[in-house]
Amino acid sequence: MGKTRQYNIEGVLLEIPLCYDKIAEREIEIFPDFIETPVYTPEGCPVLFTGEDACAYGETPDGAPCIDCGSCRYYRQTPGALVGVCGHEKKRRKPPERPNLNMDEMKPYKGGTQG
Amino acid sequence: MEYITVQEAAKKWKISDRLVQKYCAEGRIEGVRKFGKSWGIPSSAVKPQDPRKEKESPIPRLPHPQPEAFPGFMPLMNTPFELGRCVAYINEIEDGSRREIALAEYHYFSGQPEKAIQESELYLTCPDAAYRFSACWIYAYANLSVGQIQHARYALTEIKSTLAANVEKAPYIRAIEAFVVFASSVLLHLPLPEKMPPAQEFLPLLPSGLRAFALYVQAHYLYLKEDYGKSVGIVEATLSMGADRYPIPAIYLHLVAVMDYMSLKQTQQAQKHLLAAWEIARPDDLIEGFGEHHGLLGGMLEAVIKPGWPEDFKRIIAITYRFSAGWRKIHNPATGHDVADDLTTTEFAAAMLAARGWTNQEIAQHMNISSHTVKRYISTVLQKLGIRQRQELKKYMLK
Repeated sequence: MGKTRQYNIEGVLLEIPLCYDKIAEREIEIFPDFIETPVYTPEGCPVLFTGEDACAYGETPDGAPCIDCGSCRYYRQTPGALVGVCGHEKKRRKPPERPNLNMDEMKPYKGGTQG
Repeated sequence: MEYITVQEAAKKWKISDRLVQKYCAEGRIEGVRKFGKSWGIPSSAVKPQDPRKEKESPIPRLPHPQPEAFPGFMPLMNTPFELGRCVAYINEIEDGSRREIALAEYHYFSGQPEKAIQESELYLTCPDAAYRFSACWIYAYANLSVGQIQHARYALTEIKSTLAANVEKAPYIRAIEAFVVFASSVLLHLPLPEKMPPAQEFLPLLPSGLRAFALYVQAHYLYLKEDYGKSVGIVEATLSMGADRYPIPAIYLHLVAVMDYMSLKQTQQAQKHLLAAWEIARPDDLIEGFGEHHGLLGGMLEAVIKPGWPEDFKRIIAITYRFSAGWRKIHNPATGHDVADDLTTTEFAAAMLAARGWTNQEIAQHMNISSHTVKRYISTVLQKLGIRQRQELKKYMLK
């Protein structure tokens, strides 16, 4: 694996590959597409590139049209990085549904040890 | 004698009461009388003439441009040569300075700056002003393309200092000087010099082909002022008045129309003009203008020329890299504007659109690439420019 740079985005560790740019004569980070392959923080908030197109919930602090995540008031950009976290409730990943524990349908345990 | 009141006179002459009072007080109405505190105006009195109109001088008739006064100034630009026969036309010119300058023009506009420099260099100090200005202009721009910035600066300084010199000159010489200074300043996105005469003073003195190019420069100037509607109006009017007969000015007029329409987000109109420019340029390989304007064309070359003419597209991009590097070396220090210089042409095109509020989806659709690729370009651009957000792109882009 080539060079990478690590970021801790509100509890999720991202390893971003680096690529050498001949014109700029420097290493450039190659971010994955967070829309195609979503990444979430432990709290269920999506990680997004600052230049991602704004979604339907996007709002700017001053009411101007919201073009991208970076200009949205719900977006928390990680200092020194071009990625951040969307804090909008509607974008938060819902926790997986718990199984339906209907006690009447449960078969009684018939002996033996569990384990 | 019958008299009418001030109000009745005002109504009759369709002017204000106050103006009638003024005319009465100034004695400009014959037979007027005072009745107590009120004026009485004879019913047969005529409305006095507006004194401001009496002082207006007649519209001056400008001298008709003498074609023989311009033979040496940009002869190729000023010729309605048949498409595909540009070189043949030059070969038909009698051997001499006019032919040399036409050849230098051809080499410049076909993306061969080294040859243009060799040919124009011989005329930088020519006593004939028309040849000298042609040479200085071609030499300046050609040297931008080969990175010889000092030589470009020298030629540009020569041009500007001649305009500034307080020496009496023939009107057509002044017109040529003003035209070249105007073009040099606008096309480098520099402020106009202080002693720049207004366009309406020199434009009418230019012959048709040069005037068409001067109107391209005027349209470009309005584009930089973000007056896109007015700019495209000038282009459409100029083309419809026969400028399309002059291939070189016509190419540039169409290109500035592309810039305007892309700024207005009217991509179909922009495409129409780009293809019109291409149709004119291709037969004689006059591709320099496309390379010069790449950054301002909003990805149109990628969207239209690249898929249809991939080899020509590569040549145009090579011109873009050369020309824009030299252009920035003059523009950036003179204006303090830090136009980005380490982006690829595609990154620059995507960034220009992003800076103008296009979404990634819109850019992707326009440039026939994926949304993911657009985001990658934007991310690379942000890193190269050392900025954190898309909104900051504008200060590193062309206007």
